[in-house]
Amino acid sequence: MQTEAPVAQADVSEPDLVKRCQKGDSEAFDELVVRYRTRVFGMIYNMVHNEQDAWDLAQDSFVKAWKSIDRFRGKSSFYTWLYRIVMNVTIDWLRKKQVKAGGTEFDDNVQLREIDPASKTVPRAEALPHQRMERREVRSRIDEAIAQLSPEHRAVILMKEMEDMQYHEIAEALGCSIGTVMSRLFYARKKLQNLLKDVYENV
Amino acid sequence: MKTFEEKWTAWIDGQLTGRELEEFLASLPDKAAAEAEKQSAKQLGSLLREQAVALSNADFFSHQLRERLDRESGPARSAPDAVQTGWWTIRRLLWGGITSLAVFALCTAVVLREKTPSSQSQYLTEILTYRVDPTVSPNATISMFQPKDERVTVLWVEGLQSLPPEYATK
Amino acid sequence: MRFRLVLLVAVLFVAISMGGAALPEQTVWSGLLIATNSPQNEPTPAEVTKIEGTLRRLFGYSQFQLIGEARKTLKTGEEDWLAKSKYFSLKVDSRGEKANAYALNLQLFQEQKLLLETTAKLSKASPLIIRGPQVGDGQLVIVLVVQ
Repeated sequence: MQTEAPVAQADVSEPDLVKRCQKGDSEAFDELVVRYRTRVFGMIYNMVHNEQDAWDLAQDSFVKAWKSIDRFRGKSSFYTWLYRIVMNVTIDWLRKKQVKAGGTEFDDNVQLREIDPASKTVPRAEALPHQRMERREVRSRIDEAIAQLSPEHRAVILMKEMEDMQYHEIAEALGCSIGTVMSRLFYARKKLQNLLKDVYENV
Repeated sequence: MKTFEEKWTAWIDGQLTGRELEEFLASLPDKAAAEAEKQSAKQLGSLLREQAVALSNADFFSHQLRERLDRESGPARSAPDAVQTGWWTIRRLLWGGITSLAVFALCTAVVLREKTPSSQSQYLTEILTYRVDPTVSPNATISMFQPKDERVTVLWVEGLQSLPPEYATK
Repeated sequence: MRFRLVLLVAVLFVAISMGGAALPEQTVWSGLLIATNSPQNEPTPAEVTKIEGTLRRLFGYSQFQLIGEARKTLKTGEEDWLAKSKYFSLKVDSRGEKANAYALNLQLFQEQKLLLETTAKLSKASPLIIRGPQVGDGQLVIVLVVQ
C-alpha cells in the first residue's frame, strides 16, 4: 500500500493522530487523510465508476469523519471506522442515484447445487478468444460486471478482494453480521465469476 | 451453524480449518470441480486487485478538503468553555428555556388551529422503523429515501427471493 | 416558585393538546402492482396514474399491472388487511392520526411468510412506495396513498 505522508508526521502512530484530532488538531487529521485518501478514493471509484463522483464522495466521507471524530471510541481500528462512513456515504449516494444494475436483477438465491461449480461461462459475443484483452476493455468489463451487483454486494467483494479486509472488519464497516458478509461474498463471487471468467482467462 | 455459502466462502479464503474443513471437503460432490472453482475465485480476486485505481493529484485532494473543512467548521474541537456566570444563572436559563418553549407551543397551536382540516400537509411520509425478517430473507437489505423533486417516500428492499411469474396472479 | 411551575405546565399541556389536530377519518388506498415492460390490457388505476412517472423513474419499468387493491378507512387501534393478491397480502395496524398523517405498522406477507415490516407516518402529501421482490421479469411494488 503506498503512503504519501509528509516526513514530519509519518512516524506518528494512528491512535495518537486520532486523539489529537479529537482535540481539534487539524494537522493530525490532514495526516490521516494523506494515509487513506488513495484507498478511500479507489474503493469509492470501484463502487461508482466515475472519477468526479468518487472524488466528491471521498471528500464528503472525510468531512463526515472529521465532524464525527469525537464519536470514535477506538473499539475498532480507525480505518474500519472510516470505511463505515465511506460505505454509508457511497451506498446512500448509489441508492439516491437509483443506479440499477444493467442486465438481469441480481438473484441472491441462486443455489450452488443447481449450478455446476465448474460450468464454463458462455463467452460474450464481442470477446476476443485467444487474444490478449486490451487493458481498457478489461476495465470496462469489470466495471460492467460490478455494476450488476447491488451496492452492498459490491462493497463486500471490493473490501475483501481489494482491501483484503477480514470478515469482521467488513461486517463492522457495513453494519451487518459476519454471516451476511460471507453470504454476500459467496453470491458476489459467483456472479462476477460467471460474468468475468473469459476476462481473467484471457488476460 | 454456518450455511453452505458461508463455509464455501471460508474455504475459498482459506479460513476453514480442522474438523470443519474435513467435513466440508467430505460433503463436496465433486472435489475436482470445487478446486477448479476455488482457483477461478482466486483468479477473480487477482483480476480485481490489478484494477487498483490511483488518486491523481492527491495533494490537491487534500488541499481542497482542507479548504472545505475550514469553510464548514473552522477549528472543529476545542475544550469546552467554562459556563459564563453572572446574571444568566443556570436557574434563570432553565426558566427562560421553559418559558420560551411554552410560548412557542402556544403560537404553534394557534397557527395549527387556523388551518382547515383539509389543507394539504407540507410533510412527506415518514418512515420510523423498517426491517426484513432475517429468517425468511437472510440476504435482504432495506433502506429508505425520498427522491429529490418527487413527493414520495420509498422503502427500497434488495435481496428478497426472486419469484416465478405465477406470483403475479391477482 | 411552585405556582410558576404549575402555570407553565398547564400552558404546555393546553398547547400540546390543541396542537395535536386530528385528521378527520380518511381513506387509505393500497395497491399491489407488478412493474413490468410487457404491454398491459387493463387500464391503470387512477391512484397509480398520478404517480406513474415517478414509478417509471424509480424502477425503470414502463407498465404497472394491478394485482390487488383495497380502499379502507383506518381506525386507530384496529388491525386490518389492505391490498391482497393470491400470494401477497398487506396487513396494517393503525396507531393513530396526527397532524395530517396516519401512524401505521405495515406488514407485507408472501403467503405465510413475513417479508418486511415497517412503521410509518403516512402523510396525505406523499404516497409510500415499497419495492418488493422480483416476480418473473417484473417487480412487485406496493403503493399506499391517503385519499
